[in-house]
Amino acid sequence: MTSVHLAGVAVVALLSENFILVNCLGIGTHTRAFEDAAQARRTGLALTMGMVLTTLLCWLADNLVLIPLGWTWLRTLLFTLLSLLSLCLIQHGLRLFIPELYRRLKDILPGIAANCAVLGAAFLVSQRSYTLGAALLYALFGGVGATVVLMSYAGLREDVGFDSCPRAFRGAPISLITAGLMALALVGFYGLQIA
Amino acid sequence: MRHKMFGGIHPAARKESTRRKALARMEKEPEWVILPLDQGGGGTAKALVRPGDRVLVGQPVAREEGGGVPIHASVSGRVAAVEDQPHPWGGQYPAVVLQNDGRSTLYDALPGPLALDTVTRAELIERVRESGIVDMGGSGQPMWNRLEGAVGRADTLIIDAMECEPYLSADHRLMLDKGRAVMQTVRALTRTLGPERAVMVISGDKLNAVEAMERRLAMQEKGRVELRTMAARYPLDSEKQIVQAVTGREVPPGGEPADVNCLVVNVATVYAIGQCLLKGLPLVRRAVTVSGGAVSRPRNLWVPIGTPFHDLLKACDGLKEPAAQTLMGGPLRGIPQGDLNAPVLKTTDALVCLAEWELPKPVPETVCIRCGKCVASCPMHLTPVLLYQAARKKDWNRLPALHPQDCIQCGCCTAVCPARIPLSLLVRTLQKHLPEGGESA
Amino acid sequence: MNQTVRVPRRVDPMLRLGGSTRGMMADVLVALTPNLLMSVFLFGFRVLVLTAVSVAACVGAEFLCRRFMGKEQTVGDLSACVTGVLLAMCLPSTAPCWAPVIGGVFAIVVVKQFYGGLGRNFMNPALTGRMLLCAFPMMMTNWAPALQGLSIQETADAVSTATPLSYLQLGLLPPLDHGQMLLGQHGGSFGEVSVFMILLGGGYLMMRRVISPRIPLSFVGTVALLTFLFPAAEVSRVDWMTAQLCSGGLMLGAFFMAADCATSPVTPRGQSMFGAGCGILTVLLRYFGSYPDGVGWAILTMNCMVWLLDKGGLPRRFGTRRMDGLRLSLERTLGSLSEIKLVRPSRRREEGELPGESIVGQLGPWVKSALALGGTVLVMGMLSFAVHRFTDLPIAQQADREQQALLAQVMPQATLGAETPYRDPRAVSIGAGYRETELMGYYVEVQTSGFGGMITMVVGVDLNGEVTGVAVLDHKETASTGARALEGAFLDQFTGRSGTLRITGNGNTIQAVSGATMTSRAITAGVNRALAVVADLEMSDPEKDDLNYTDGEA
Repeated sequence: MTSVHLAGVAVVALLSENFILVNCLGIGTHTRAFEDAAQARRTGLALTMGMVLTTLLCWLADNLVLIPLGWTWLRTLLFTLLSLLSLCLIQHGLRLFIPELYRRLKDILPGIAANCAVLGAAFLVSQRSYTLGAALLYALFGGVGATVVLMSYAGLREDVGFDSCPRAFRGAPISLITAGLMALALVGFYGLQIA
Repeated sequence: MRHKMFGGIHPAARKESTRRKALARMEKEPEWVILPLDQGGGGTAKALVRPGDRVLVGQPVAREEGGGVPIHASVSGRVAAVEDQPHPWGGQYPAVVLQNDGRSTLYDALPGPLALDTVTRAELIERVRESGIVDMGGSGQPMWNRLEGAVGRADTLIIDAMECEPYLSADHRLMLDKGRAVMQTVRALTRTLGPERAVMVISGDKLNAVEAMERRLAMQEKGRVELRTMAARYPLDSEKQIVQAVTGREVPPGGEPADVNCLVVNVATVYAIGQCLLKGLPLVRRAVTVSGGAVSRPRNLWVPIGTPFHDLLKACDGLKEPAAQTLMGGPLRGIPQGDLNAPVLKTTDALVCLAEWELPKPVPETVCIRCGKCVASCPMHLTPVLLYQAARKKDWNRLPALHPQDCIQCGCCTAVCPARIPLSLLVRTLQKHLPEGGESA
Repeated sequence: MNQTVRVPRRVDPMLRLGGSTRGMMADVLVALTPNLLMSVFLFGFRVLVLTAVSVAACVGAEFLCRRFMGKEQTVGDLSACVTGVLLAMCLPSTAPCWAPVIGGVFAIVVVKQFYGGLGRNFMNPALTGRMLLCAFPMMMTNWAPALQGLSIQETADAVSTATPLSYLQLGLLPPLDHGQMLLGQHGGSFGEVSVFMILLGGGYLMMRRVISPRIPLSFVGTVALLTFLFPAAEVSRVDWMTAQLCSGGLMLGAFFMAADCATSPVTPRGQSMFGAGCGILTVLLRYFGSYPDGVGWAILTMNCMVWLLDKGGLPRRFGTRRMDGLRLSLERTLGSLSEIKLVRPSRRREEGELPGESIVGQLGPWVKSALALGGTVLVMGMLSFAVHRFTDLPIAQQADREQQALLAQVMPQATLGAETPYRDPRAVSIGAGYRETELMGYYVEVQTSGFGGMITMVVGVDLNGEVTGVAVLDHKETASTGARALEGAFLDQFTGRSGTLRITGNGNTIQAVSGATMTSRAITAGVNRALAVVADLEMSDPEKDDLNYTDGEA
């Protein structure tokens, strides 16, 4: 596993398989994350933490337990449990050890628990049989990519404002169109491969 | 070493109509003179005279109070009233109204002249203070304050003769017509204040003034005063910009040139200081350019302070066509005049009457296309377009990061905006939305 | 002292410099004119027809859109004209006339007017319209060669020539001299080929101060630097850099699309970062991406980031030192972060409480929920175990059937497939096909990178080293076109071939599927690899040479 390969994994997670725009994962976050840049940053942070921890746990469980024992059919159940467990760990760990950070992320963390990006990262990693380093990098950069997208989306919303379209398109439609346009920009990265 | 000013614009100079006309006194001195107690420097002076008193030229009619400057009678005659009179800033403010007796008798208690070679620093500052001299380049703040603040701190004395605004030529003519006194005073200032460098900055479109100053320098003392010529890029005449252009230092936000060890003195101020030293005469007259497409005979006048604007126009044979906009000052920083009874202030450098055809076409404001020209033109590194967006969204939380309070109101952003958005007005109004409270209204 | 500071009544400056929005757009049109004339010379009058259709579509869409949305008319600001011309310029000269209509209407209505018109759109309309047309890859890659005197009529099956980019993608220099590259005597989108004319127009725009030079210069500079630092193997650095700079839509993109003021940052530093970002992404896409040209995608991606760049690129406050702003924001961030402290968890005990009593109080609900959760998990686990048990056999049978079907496809003459102990780093697995007990050949599973990602395919090779069949197991190609290169008609071409196969060039060629060149190339590469793997197998007989033989591992 060369560093070039790892860089490839990072770029793929950041751009061509951007969790939000391309994989369409993690869109179930709190709506405020799409409206307020500061909220978007915090959500992104929480999401990244969740993804990395869950991926770590799931990778360990997958490679140390499931595959040696041939119990791969248990993956879905176990990964779901582990993702909840990792979110639990984060929430309680933060509350006990870093109360200030917990206070800031309090509103967001419960939303992350049910976020598909967290579970999705773990599944994608196990599907592709990444090594541990690649898996963690994938989760980390996937989270960073999601954060950037959330922030630029929120920024666009603040800056451009979506209020000048025809009335029929206000609200959800124009939001989806905007997300679609942003995703269109990432179409070019489809199939990006760094050897 | 050359330093560059960031941003700025190159407006058409439009000085041809007055730059060749020597400073002249008005053929007929004004009948009434209005001396507002607020000369625009911040404080209001306290009137010393009562209606009916006789005053002579140079006699104090108001003493300084609360940051103001003493005001002296600019003509001899009788005090007609101390009452509210139109002010060039708009509205009515208390002023001393003098009726001119036309004799221009000098006040007999004027202090005696001080020899420029021997005057001490304390004497100089005290004399400037008594003479009511303000910074005539724009801010209108008391000059003695500036001088005192610069003592021991300023290593660079900058004589500002840029005069980049269109139409203005009063400073230009001062250098040509009173060059000797100007240069002598610069020398005296250099000697008393003791800066390491004294730089006189003249814009490149006044080459004859540069030449005249060079000649004076050669005649008097070489080496002590540097002469620099700079491209006439507006707003290089503003003090923060000229300090940056000459020394490369930037005046910190909310500070003044003394904070970066510089002292900026405008040519008109230099000449006024010269007058008070050489003749003991306080600030009672100044050079004013009367110009603009609507004026019949644009010219540079040497007028008593307090002359009402309509008298200025009369001295220029009135208007040849209706003025669409009358401004005190140039077209970029000028203050609009509704009432021509308002008088010349100590800081008034020009009266510009713009004809209809000189005004920008009244194109309706269109939407911002984010071209970024305002950002590129702002000499204070502001981002007017982002301020505009914040204002449109009424999102005042973004303001502190954008520093609208730094605006020097040069108007470059409005001038370059292809969408005709009145940006500089907008930035000014935004200052009061700053969370800290900002300027009180 | 209780007095208010008087402020003079002011008006806005009585002086205006520079042009209007309309004037700026007119300048852009002027700057595009030499380029348009050059492309008429290169590709014939059809170029003018396309441009006219495109402009008409954009202006019409803008007019109708503003009309129906009940807003004041903005057709007069010429921005729709600019969009139209730019959109047309991104098309091949063989494109049908409906293409710019679709792109233009989408660009104007969705990208621009939905967000409030000129200046409010966050993406470059012309570019977005063009990228939408990538949904028709065959049309968009049907490059006509230059100077062939293309007639006004649409020529549906014009020869698709190679553009410089298709050479660059293979790591080769295009067979063109500098003059041809500069003037655009090669295939490509008709407005993108003539680098010289684009530079002329760009220079005019910078001179007229319509665009700031920061974006195009930093964009082109970044691409130049990166291509200079990382040239393809066995190619001179300078030649490689020049070829990269002069090919594709780089120049048109840099001067007319990235520098489009509405969709780029306004702050000077933001503009430089924007240009550099576009450059980095362009090189990334050109080197590793699936589409031949990354310029458009790079610009669109950066367009989405303009807000962040503007925020990050705020000019230094006047009178503060270069790093002061950064230091201030860092201090603020650190200050905010320093509130986040690690604390030692402390269990405060209430007065008169036994140690652990509070925990005991909480224990009840905990146990309750843990039991519920455990029960659910247990039930679900049992369920999946049961399902697994019952489906295990059918799944295995199904897999076996699939294996047989696969064998029938890749090696029809064999009846039985078996795993072999051979290993090769280039292949996923190597199997052997038998009829009764007679070895007929090997089938090799290889992976190759196609347009959308890995293509997993199996190639059967008989003992003579000839391909007996090709089957694709897994792919991520686009359904409309890419998949056409995975169907029988294309794959059958390989049967009976041997040696090293090529897509282009002479001798032993495979006819690529039009519009799916990338996929065709990938499949061919896979077949070549499988052939090489089998050829190597025969040289090293495992019976004699144990080097490749790893016993008992499978």
